[in-house]
Amino acid sequence: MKNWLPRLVAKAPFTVHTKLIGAFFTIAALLIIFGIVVIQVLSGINRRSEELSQLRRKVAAFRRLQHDTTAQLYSVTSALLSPEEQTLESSLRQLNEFRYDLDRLQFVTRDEVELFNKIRKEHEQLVQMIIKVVELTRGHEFTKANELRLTKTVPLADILERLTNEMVNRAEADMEAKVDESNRAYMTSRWVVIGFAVGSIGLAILLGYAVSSSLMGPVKLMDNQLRQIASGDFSKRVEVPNRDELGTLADNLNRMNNKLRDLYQQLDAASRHKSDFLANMSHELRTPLNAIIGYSEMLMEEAEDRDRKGSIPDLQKIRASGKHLLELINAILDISKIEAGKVELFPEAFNVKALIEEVSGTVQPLIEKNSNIIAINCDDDLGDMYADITKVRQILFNLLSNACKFTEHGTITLDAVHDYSERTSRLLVSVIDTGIGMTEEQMGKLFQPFSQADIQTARKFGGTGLGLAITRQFCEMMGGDIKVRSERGRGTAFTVRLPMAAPPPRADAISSATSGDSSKSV
Amino acid sequence: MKNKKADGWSRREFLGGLALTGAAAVVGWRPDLVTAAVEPPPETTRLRFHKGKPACWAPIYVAEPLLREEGFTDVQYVFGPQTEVGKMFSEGKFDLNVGFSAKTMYNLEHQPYPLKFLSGLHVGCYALIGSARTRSVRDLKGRTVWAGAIENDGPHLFFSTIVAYVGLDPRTDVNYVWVDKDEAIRLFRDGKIDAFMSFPPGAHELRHNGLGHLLIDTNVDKPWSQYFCCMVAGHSDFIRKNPIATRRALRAILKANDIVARDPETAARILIERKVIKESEYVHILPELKHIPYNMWRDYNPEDTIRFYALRMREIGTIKSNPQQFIDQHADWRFMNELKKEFGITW
Ligand SMILES: Nc1ncnc2c1ncn2[C@@H]1O[C@H](COP(=O)(O)OP(=O)(O)OP(=O)(O)O)[C@@H](O)[C@H]1O
Ligand SMILES: [Mg+2]
Repeated sequence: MKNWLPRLVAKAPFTVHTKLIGAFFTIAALLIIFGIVVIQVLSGINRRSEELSQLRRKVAAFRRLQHDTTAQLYSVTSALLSPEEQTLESSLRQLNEFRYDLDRLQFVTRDEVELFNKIRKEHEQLVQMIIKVVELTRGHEFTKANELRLTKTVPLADILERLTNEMVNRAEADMEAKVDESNRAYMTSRWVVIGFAVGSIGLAILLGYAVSSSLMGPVKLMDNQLRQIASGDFSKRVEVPNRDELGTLADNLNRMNNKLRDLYQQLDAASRHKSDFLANMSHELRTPLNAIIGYSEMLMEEAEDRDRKGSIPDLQKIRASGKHLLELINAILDISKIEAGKVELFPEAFNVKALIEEVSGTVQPLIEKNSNIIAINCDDDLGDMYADITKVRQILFNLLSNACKFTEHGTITLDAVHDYSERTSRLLVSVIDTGIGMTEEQMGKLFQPFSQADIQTARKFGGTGLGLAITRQFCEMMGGDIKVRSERGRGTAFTVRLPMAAPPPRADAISSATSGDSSKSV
Repeated sequence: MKNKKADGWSRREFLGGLALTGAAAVVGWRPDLVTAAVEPPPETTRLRFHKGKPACWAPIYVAEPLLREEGFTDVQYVFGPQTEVGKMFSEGKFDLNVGFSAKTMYNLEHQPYPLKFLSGLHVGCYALIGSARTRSVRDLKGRTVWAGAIENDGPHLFFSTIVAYVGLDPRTDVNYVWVDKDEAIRLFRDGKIDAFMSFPPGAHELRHNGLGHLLIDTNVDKPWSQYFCCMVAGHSDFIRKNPIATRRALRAILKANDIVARDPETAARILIERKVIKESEYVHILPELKHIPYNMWRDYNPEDTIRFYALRMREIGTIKSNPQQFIDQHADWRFMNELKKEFGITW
C-alpha cells in the first residue's frame, strides 16, 4: 500500500495552507536538528583535540623531569670526580631547575594531585640526598659521599625514573584511548550525519510526495470529472478523501454536476418537445397547404377551361404564396430535424459531374430571372463520389439559388475540382457571383439560422435565412466544411469541401453541431 | 653434590618443605601471622599450571612445595604448545599460567580468552645478540635475523618492539628466517644471519661459544629492563570462584620468585627434575637464572608493563586495542596488592 501516506495527509483535517506550512516547518526543523548534530560532532572533536594536546604537554613535562633527573645524577657523579667549588655550585644550581620542573609538572597535572604529590615526595628526598652528597664532598668526605650516592641517590633516581616512566606511559595510554575514542566518535558521527542526511532527504521527499500527491490526486480527479461534464456525461461523481479546500471543491463540483445534469435533462426534454412540436406542426401545416395549392391549381385550370381569365392572376398569387409557405415549412422542418439529431445520412455512389449538370439545369429559370449567365468549370477527373446525394444536391442548390437571388446582370461561376492535396481526397466546389456582396459584419452571422444580411434584404429578396444554416450543417455532417469570401458590391464566393468518400456517420457530431446553435433556433 | 648449599640446607630438604619457614626467612618474608591464621583454606585443592618450555618460568615449579603448604594437594603442570595456549585456556584446561606479557596480549587481541593478569613475575630474560657486523640495533636494517621459529611468537614480538623503538619497521626493514633454534645458531655461526633474538638459555649458549655480542640485554637495558617480561595470570572463572585459592597460589609463586632469585642453582635443578630442561642445559640455564631479576615484582608496577607493551605493539600495528582496554578487561591486581600489604611493601 504505497498510497496510504498521501491518503493520510489528504484525510488530515487541516487546510492545504496549514499542511504546506507544516511540511516546510518539518523540513526546516530537520535542517536545524541536523545542524545541531553537526555542531555537537564538531565540538566533540574540538574537545578531544584539546584533551590530546593537554596530554601531550603532560608527557613533555614528565620527559623534562626525567631528563633533568639523569642530568642531576650525572652532575653529582662528576662533582664527586672533580670536587671543585665550581662543579659543586653548578650541581646545586641544577636543583633549582628541578624545582622549576616540578612547578611545571604541578601546572600540567592539576587533575592528578595525588600522583604529583608522590612524585614531589620522591624528588624532595632525592634533592635532600644530593644536597647531602654535595655537602659531604665539600667537607672532603669523599668515601661517605660516594657511598651515599650509590646506596641512596641512585636507587632513588631509579624509582623516580620508573615513576615518571609510568606517568609517561599513562599519559600515552590515555592519548591512545582518546585516539580510539575519537575514531569511534568519528565513525558514530559519520553514521549519524549520513543517517541524518539520508533520513532528512528521504523524509523531505516523502513529505513532498505525500503533500503533492494529496493535492494533485484530487485535482486530477476533478479535471477528469470536468472533462466528463464537458463531454455531456453527468453520470459520474468525483470522490476525494481530502478534508481540506480540495474536499470542499470536489463537493461543489459534484453539486454543480448534479445541477447541470438536471438542467441538461430539462433542456434536452424541451428541445425534443420543440422538435416534435415543429415536426408535428409542419406536418399539420403541410397537409392543408398542399390542399390549398392543389385546389388553387385546380381552380386555375377550371378558369382556363371556362375562360374566366380575370381570376387567374389572383389564383396564381394564392398558389405562389402557398408554395412559398410550403418551402418555408420544409426548411423549418429540415433545420429542426437537424437540431433534433434526426437527420441521417444515406451515402451512395454517384457521378459528380452528372449531379452538377442536373442542379444547374434545375436553377436555369432562376438564372434567367435576373438576367444572369452561368459558367460551369468541372475538372475532368471528378469521377464518382460516395455520399448522401440528396444533401449534396441541396447544398449546391442553396448556393446557386442564393447567387442567382443576389446577382443581377452578372455571371455566376461554378468551379468543381478534385483535391488530392490532403490525406483524404476531397471535392472542392466554388460558387462565385458578381452580385451585391456582403460586409464583414454580415458575413459574421451568415450561417446562423434565420439570419439575413439586413431587413432590406428580407423585404427585397424574401427567403427565410435558413438556407446557409442548413447547408453548413449538411457539410459538417458529411465531414466537410464551407467558407465564404465576399466584398460589398463586388460579389461573393462560397467554397464547399466534401470528402469524396463519406466517413461512417457520426451521431455525436450531429448532436453537438446542433446543440451549439440550439439557442438561436428556439 | 652440586645441590648442597652454602646456607646448609639441601635441595632435597627444601623440596620436602622442611626448611620452608627457614627459606622464607632467608629471602626476607615476614608473613603476617594473624593474616595466615585467619585466612581460610583454598576453595579448591587442585591447581593446574600451563607447563611450557621457557626456563624463565622456574618459579612455578619451585612453588610446588609452597603450594602444598598453602593447601593445594593436587598441583598439576599441564603441557600445551605455545600456539595452543589460548585455545586450551578457553577450554578451561589451566587455572594459572605465566607468560610473556606482550605475547599474552597479542593472543588476547587476536583470539580473546578469559584471562586476567594477576602480577608481574620477572624482568628481562630476552637478549638480542648481534653479529660482528652489527654494532647497534639500527644496523639491522636490511639484514637477516632470527626472531624465533614462528611469526608473532614471543621472540618475534619482543624483537619487533625493540627495532620499532629505534625507528625500524619490523615488517619491512629486516628479513626473517623462520627456523628452529639449533638451525638458527648454525646460521649465526656461519654468518648467514646478523641477529639472534635469544631467550634462556640462548644468549649464554652463544656467548659461551664465543659467538656474537649483546646488542640489547633486556635484563639490564632500559627501557626494557624497567618492565616485566613474564607475568602471572589466571583463568577469570577460577579467580572469580576461588579468590582465596588465587591469593594463596599467588603468594606461593611470589615467594618462589624470591627463592629463584636467592637460589638459582636449586631452581635450575628443579627445572631438570620437572623435565623442563635437559641436564646438559644446566650450565647455560644457571647463569641466566642468576642474571634474570626475579625480585622486581615488589618494585615494578605490572599495570605499567601492560601499558608499555600495548603502546609499543599498537605503534607497530600488531594490536589495535589501546592499553586501557587491556587493563580494564584483563587485569586484576587485588591479590597482588593484598599480598604486598601483607608483606609490608608500601607501594
Ligand atoms: N450570394 C450572396 N450574395 C449576397 N448575399 C448573400 C449571398 N448568399 C447569401 N447572402 C446573404 O445571406 C443571407 C442568408 O442567406 P440564406 O440563404 O441563409 O437565406 P435567404 O437566402 O435569405 O433565405 P432562404 O435561403 O431561406 O430562402 C441572405 O439573406 C443574404 O443577405
Ligand atoms: Mg437562400
